[in-house]
Amino acid sequence: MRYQVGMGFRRDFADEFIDNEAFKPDFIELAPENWIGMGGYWKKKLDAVAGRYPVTCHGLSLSIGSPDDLDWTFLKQLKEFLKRYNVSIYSEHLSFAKADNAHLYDLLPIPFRDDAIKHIVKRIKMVQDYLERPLVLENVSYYTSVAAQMTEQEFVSRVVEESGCQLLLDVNNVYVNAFNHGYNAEEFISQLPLDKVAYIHMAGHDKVSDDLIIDTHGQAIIDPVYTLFEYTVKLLNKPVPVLLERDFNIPETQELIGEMERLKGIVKKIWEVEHVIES
Amino acid sequence: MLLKADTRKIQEQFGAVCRKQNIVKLQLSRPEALVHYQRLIRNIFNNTLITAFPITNEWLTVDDWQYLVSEFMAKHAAQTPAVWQMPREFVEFVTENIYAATLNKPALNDLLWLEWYEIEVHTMRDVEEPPIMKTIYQLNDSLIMNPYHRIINLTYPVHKMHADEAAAEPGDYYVLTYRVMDSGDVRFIEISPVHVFILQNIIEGPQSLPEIVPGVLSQFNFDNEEAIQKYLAFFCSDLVDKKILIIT
Repeated sequence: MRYQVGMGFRRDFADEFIDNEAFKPDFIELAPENWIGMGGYWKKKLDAVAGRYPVTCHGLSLSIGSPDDLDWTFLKQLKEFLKRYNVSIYSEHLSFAKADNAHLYDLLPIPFRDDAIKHIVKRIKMVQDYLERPLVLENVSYYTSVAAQMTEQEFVSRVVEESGCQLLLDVNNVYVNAFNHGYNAEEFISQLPLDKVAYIHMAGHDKVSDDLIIDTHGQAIIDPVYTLFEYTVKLLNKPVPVLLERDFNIPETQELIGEMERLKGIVKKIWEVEHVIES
Repeated sequence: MLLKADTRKIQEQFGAVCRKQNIVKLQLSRPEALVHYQRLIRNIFNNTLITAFPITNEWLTVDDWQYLVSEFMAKHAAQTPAVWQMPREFVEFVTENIYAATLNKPALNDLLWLEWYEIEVHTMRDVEEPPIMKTIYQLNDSLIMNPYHRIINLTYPVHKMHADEAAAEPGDYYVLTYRVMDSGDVRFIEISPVHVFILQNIIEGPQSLPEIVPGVLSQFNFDNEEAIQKYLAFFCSDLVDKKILIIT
């Protein structure tokens, strides 16, 4: 399938993925940490949904930017899980979730620094070698930079280019960061290594004050983010899978179907034209 | 080391501030945003623990609950990469650090463990399940256990009464927690020390009740073998009906 629009698989509406014939994303994405080692009722649900859809994985705890060592026990379990569910894309976050030997279960901003890049590049290569697949890293939303010595754009671009990993371009995160940190979202995207984009995320957010947006995945995608998405898609030289994330405040399924259809309409309009021109 | 010591320290400080929810001067472009990280991370811990321990959360006062969450976040370095398994570390932390005494809630540990074991049994890794060849129990049948179970020893009977009432009735209580093989639901049965003895023997390897009864008589100083065997046969038959015991 050329234009794939998927949906994050969550327990809150797991049965919709299995039983609702009208709700048919092209693929599903799940966080492996939430399923590795699990048996019983939820394992049956996972197997049922994995039997119905292609699966991508979006990890939470790799903590590629952590000062702590990589967790090889976890990586071993992860590798087995990716193989077991025939996972096509394994993505993670360009952030850290563990420090001082403590997991925090959230995505913390890495200092935009040269030594951090070198540290992360080495770890990406180790992970890619072990998993025998490219790592696809997401530009994360952040609400403050920490002891930064360069811009976010330079940091993300250098990590991707120097490590050889691929980029999960989260368009909503770019919108959120551009708003929170006062930069131009389109300019930011245009300067990324777009030939490395392998996957796109789209989501909604919450504006908590006049000058701060929090990336909650708890609302519908807003029009300016669709506009930024269309701008992004036009810059890409090949179709990539697009995922709709919705983690909280789950609406009626019809609303999610509508969002997926709108995303698909945009990529189809642009990538079909590109395809005609190419041929 | 490619990561310089000061960058490492900055990251560790940022993580520590989020865990300990305190104020430390950090080199941030938007210092006012730090509270959002603290709030988001606290919500993740708090919500995960409330989901795991709804009865304990309902029982404790808001202040006591929040105190435990704060203590756990600040003093315990969470080890599991899977957030759904983090509540087990919470129970261990609360138990090891004697918060039941600090909060004057004697039944706290038992209630937390009971709630955790429900999750543990519900999510236990699937194993190859023994085939059920026969469903009507007969005395000489050799028995094995449903692989998805826990036998829990409680000091307070929190499985059958409010935790404050349970605190007034300390004793030696046993609860068999098991996963229903077809539905995946988790259920509890209160059992006696004699039942525990029977089940522990069966767990060690397939055995029939007549093979175990002599051990019961000597262990518990019973002398009426026929009556004991009849009583335990009824127990085994009930557990076979519930698919907790499986006839081999």
